[in-house]
Amino acid sequence: MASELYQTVAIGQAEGATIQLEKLTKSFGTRPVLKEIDLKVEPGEFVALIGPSGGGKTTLLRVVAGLEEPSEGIVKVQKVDSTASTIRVMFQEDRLMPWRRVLANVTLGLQVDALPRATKFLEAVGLGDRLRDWPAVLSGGQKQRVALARALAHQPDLLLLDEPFGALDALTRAGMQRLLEELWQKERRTMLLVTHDVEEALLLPDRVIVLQSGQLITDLRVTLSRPRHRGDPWLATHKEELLDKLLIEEFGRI
Amino acid sequence: MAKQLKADLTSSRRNIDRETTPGRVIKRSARKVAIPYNLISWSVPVAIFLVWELLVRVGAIAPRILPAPSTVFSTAWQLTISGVLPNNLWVSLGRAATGFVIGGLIALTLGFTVGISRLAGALLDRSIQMIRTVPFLALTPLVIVWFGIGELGKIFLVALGVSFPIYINTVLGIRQVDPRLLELGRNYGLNQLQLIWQIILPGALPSILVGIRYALGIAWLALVVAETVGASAGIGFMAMDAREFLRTDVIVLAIVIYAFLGILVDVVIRWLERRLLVWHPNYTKQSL
Repeated sequence: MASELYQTVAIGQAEGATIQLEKLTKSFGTRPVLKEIDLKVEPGEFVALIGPSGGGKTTLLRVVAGLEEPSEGIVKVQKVDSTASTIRVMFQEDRLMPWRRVLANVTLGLQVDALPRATKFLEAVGLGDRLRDWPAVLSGGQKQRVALARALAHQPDLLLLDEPFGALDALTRAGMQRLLEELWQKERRTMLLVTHDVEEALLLPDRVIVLQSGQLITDLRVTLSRPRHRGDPWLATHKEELLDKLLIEEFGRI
Repeated sequence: MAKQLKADLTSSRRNIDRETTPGRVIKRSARKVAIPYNLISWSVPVAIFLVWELLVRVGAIAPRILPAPSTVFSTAWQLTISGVLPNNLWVSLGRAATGFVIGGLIALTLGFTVGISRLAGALLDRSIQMIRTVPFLALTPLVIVWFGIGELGKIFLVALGVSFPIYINTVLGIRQVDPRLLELGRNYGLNQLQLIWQIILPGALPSILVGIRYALGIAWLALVVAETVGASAGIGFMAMDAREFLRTDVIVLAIVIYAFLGILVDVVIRWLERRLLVWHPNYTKQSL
């Protein structure tokens, strides 16, 4: 569907930025939300960050995005050649500008010559025939697809996704997940997906990190081949394990 | 062939729809017939005019107190032919427009400065709010002392009256812009000027237009006062001049013209709202 997008990039070639966190601490007032976090993410890696709500996932994402200043420690996001990298965030809410038509929302912050690219990404998310529509007439899932196209049209070195499919119905969510995986496989940018859905965290990324009470407690590699199936035994086992771990930490019992 | 089949299918589906929903159709049409809204709403003012005309004709109201609508209409016609009405109208419109543009530009500039910069807000907002509590028409005697009864004083009064509603609604509109959209704009590489032009301005526009609508009403009010106090041309002057000669018909005409200008302005601003806020679900469905 989106194959013509990636003619310039060899399929599967890893690109994108490196994330490096050293003893990262973030406090709001006296309450620490992130405690001395060390993390390294390689270029082109697709990492999921899960954890209970209030565990600091979104704060970590916002610090990496530069939307919040770290209280202590080092945050480094750079490309392989050490130049500054483009970071874009896709939020849980679509955050479309209601006064811009669909296409104009995708070209927000881009030069005029990005118009063909924006159109192509909208076609890739299946909205090629809605370019001239106002966001108000789109459904929730369609708006979120526009937001995804907008993030991708910026060709970020690092794409941060903050529970992007959390508010969608199960069917739309499954479609969006497949779409995201396809697009990532063709253009290997670094991606950090924050989610509270354990299944989603195992289905899409290469690596799952669990953040709990401001600390990284698990770092799991997912080596399953793609496309992955929800019924895969390895996936089912690890889903149970992760859930148990989260439940014990959160409630003291399974 | 296939197209033909598809057309058949859709047309038959349409027929089915129609057949399966007869109850709803009847119900809806019954409700529409029950209240011919436009007919009733227009018949009331028409009836009032007829009664008014009748009362004057039979002598229940002296024409010097209140002339018949037909007299006012013929007066309007005569004054239009003689050029008196167009000239005065033109002068009044010119004053209103000049005052509105000057006051509006000052208010928008101040509103955006205060809305965007916290420092500017701290410096200016309290003082502006304090001046706002003065009923601006109370300044009329002072304005006459400052500017005399020339054009400047009238334009000053209109500009002053216009600026407060536009200022307040601009500041309010900017404060109500969704901070999450601004955050997104910054993350997607917009600079300060682009943030203002592409997010703050369109986000505040519905509120700004409300302010402009208010302001236009106030512009007329200021104009009436200014022209009635002292002028040598304009609709208000025409009315005051007519009073000297007890030409009640001209006075009533002037009042009617002020009313019509108000309606005209309202139509223009509604049109503007529908053009500028096509994206807004609340405005697209609005009918005039």
